[in-house]
Amino acid sequence: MVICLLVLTNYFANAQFTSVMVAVDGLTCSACSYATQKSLFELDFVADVQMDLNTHIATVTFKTDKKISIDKIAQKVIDAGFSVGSLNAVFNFKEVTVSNDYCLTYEGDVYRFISTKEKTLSGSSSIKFIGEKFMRKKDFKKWKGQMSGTCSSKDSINSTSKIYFVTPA
Amino acid sequence: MKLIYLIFILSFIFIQASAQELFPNTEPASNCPKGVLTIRQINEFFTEYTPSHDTSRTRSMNGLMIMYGVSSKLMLTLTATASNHHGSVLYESDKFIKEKDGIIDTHGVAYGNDYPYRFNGFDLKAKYKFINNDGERRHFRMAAYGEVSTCRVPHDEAEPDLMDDNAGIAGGLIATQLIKRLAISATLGCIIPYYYRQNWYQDLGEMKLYYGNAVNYSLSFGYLLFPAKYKNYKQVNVNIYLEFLGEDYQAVKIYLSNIQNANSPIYLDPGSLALQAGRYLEARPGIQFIFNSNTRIDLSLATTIPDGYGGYLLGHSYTRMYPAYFINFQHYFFLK
Repeated sequence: MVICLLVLTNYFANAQFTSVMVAVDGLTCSACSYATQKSLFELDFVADVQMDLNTHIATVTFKTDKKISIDKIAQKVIDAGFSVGSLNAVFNFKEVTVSNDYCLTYEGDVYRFISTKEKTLSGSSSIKFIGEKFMRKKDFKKWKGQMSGTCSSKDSINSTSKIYFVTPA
Repeated sequence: MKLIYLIFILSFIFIQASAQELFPNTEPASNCPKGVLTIRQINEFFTEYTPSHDTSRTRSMNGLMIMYGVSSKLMLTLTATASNHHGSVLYESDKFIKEKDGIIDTHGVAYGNDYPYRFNGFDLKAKYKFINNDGERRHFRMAAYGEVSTCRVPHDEAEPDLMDDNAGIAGGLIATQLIKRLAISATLGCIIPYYYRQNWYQDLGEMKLYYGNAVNYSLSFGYLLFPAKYKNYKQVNVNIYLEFLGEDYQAVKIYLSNIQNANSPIYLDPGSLALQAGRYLEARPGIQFIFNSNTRIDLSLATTIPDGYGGYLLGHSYTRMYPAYFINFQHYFFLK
């Protein structure tokens, strides 16, 4: 039933995850890349992980019947002993107009756009995740001050929602 | 000074060329990934030549090391070792202690004894990574470690070695810098060995042997030689290493319960070099092959640094003969 609901919600959603690209920092050996890839595979919502052994960018694709957690992806990289240099997700948008403080609700999680000029996203678009776990320390310093304020639309947000800060990549 | 130049030149060569931190003889500040179990089988052997008897024998130490990543910051390592380095007790015939005309002192340690192959004990190590600065194809990490060993064997040298010879505790700091294909790592630690006791002969009563406390240090360089560019996980990785390891240790103190001045250690004969305080730095070049990104073989050897006059520039260890050879086999098991 839950699976059914998830599938249905995703089907009717105005945006849908297709993949996540994680730049893994601190990697230089193939055994380390292998460990990180294996670690990401442990997540039940992950369908596939492709690791570029030279750029150390992991492309993670998802199962359609499971709830996706971007937080867990970052945590797996950290648990493997490395750090996330950057994390970008590819969403399939259906004519969504985003602007500063626009909040997109997807699978119960909230994706709040910051530092965003008003524009309409359609088709495959990449969004960048902002947060201590999702980027290099020096990059995070630049964003830290912007992670305040509230969503411009609050209707679909409940107290259990996980809030992610994002910006069009 | 010569060594500092040598290290400087070697680091310069490495940096010029453009890694690795999976050092055969030391631990980097990085840990095993969380939930990953690593098993390493370690082997050390050297030939002990005894000029007085013109005989030689192979001394070997073998061990099994189990490493587990408890979290991304904490790693535990349990090692069990066995060797033919020691007897079950120190024998009178080893001439470890001599008594002549009522004067008791030590005797130069007799090399050349055959000992059976025996289990030494366990060594448990915890390593906690407290600095983790990652960048694109680079990182700087620092870790602290603590170690406890049960290897309480009749070790007849001052230099402590928790993995093979001494029960005791140890702790220290590790800093590792990795830049693309090159890794440089340094360790600074201290070893506090536990004493060894047994009953001695000639009615001298109980003998207690307090080994020297030691400061241990190492500087390691690792370089990823092959592949130049990664294609897949099946590619064989070849890493080359040059490590410098050493210790600065205090002299042994030996107490005999039944002699007149039982509270003072007995006199160490100046000729008992292995029982005296000492320090050394040895070089350990090595090569490593990694297969399928999860199985590795390390080949390395320990050698002294010659002074150009037939001696040693920075001393040598009395616990092994040179060259000593090391072979490690390691496999990663992804448990989840």
